Amino acid sequence: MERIAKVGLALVCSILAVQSIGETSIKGYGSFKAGVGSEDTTFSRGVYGEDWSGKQESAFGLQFKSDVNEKTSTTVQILARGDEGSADFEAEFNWAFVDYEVNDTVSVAVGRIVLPLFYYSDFLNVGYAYTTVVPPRSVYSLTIFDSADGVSVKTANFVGDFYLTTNVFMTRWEESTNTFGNINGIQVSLSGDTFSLFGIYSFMDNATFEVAELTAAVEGAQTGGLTDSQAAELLMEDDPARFVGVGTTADINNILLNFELTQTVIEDSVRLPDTNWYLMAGYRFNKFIPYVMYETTSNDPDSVDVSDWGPFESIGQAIIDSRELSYSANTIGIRWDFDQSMALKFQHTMYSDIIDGEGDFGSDGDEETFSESMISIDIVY
Amino acid sequence: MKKLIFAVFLIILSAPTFAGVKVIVHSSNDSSFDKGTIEKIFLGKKKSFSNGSKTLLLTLPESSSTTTDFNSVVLNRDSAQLKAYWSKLVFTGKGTPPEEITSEIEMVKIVSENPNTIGFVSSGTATDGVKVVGEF
Repeated sequence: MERIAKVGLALVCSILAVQSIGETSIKGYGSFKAGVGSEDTTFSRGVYGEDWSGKQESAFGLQFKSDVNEKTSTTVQILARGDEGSADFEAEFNWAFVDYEVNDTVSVAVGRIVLPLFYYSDFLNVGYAYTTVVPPRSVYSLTIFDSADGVSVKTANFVGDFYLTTNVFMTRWEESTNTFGNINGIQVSLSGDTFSLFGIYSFMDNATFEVAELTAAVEGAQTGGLTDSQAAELLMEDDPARFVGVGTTADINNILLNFELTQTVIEDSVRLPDTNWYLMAGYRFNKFIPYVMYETTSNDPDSVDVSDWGPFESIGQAIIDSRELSYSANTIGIRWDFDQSMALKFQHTMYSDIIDGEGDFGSDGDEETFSESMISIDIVY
Repeated sequence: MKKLIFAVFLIILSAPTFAGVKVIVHSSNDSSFDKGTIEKIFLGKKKSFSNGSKTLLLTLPESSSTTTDFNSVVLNRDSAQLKAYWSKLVFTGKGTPPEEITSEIEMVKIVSENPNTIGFVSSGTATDGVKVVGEF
């Protein structure tokens, strides 16, 4: 709380400083989300346990945008998320950047910027901006990637009647022990009145992630004679990585469709390459949007070959098996825009055919099911 | 015949109680406008008028029936859709939604004073001192 106050104070001071030059606009959003799971589970994509809980995915944001001059503006967004490690609702700077409009079609942002890795990434925390209670978990389970420090160059142009936008970004992301090193990429979208198509490609040069159980297992095998190069094939250390996504949205005669297919790969590691996709369909009926969604995620356990590892084949295979994750899920839900700038949503998701090597939940030959019910109230102001 | 009656009935049902809106700009603004251009400007996709000046978007309160009419006829969206649209842009600093002006009289006054502004009022509102570039 003290830290929130400090951040707030620092921000108010900086805004007062800016206000003498230009105007500052303040916008905010809030998403209170609560859910309950069918059982307490070790399923890695299950967020809620057997009792209703409302803090894991709730988020509140406040954004300050100041015009420095006609071409330059500064944007600062403070975000407080319910589940921020050990501290609840601790406020942090989600992004803070200077934006310079070169002309009507080109702009450059420098600072802590949004990482547009997939379609929802730009507005992941702004529940009001999308139909479902939470973004499809098949694609959006990597929520650690909201923002990174660097530069992005955006263009926006009309090609005939179609609106073409591009975003080239060069950033760096690292935490104390985890890093992706440099994250560079491009996002392209083409939209008409009723549809949009988009594609995203990003690559990282130094994916290093510490997973305690994995490190312990590999180090144990190393004392028994597992070679360094074999260990390197398992661990996520200095590995190149890439994220790829394509998708489409449509809003025709009140029928809403949203499809996205993504793949994430961290090479030379047991973070097995995964393929994820979802298809959401909804119908806008006055203030209500009932919707259904199918999604699936699966990874490729054959991407690391340990068949010639001799005595270490079985332990290598065991480590790979422990990293396997695949499932499909069906969702039914409804959004109700019950008042100005406020939406109430409910959804129920049934996960099935779960193979999750990370815990005891669902494994080869023992596929299981899990379900979650969630509600949210989303506001913008 | 039944089909015809049904069709007429549908048309009557879907016909909005629509008073008409006028899109207004500063009297010196010599840019060209059509419905498509106005839509692009109000969705933040065109940031300048054809005369090169930057656009400054103005809207009326969400509760005003003029706003509802403008949103549905010119932008083909209801207020919740429009708000969700802007939410996607605003919170990444990609766009600035229209500024809300409290009354139609105030709207005409502000537009008459600022060459960058574009706004709208209901058909019945006097628009002396500003230029009407579209009536819907």
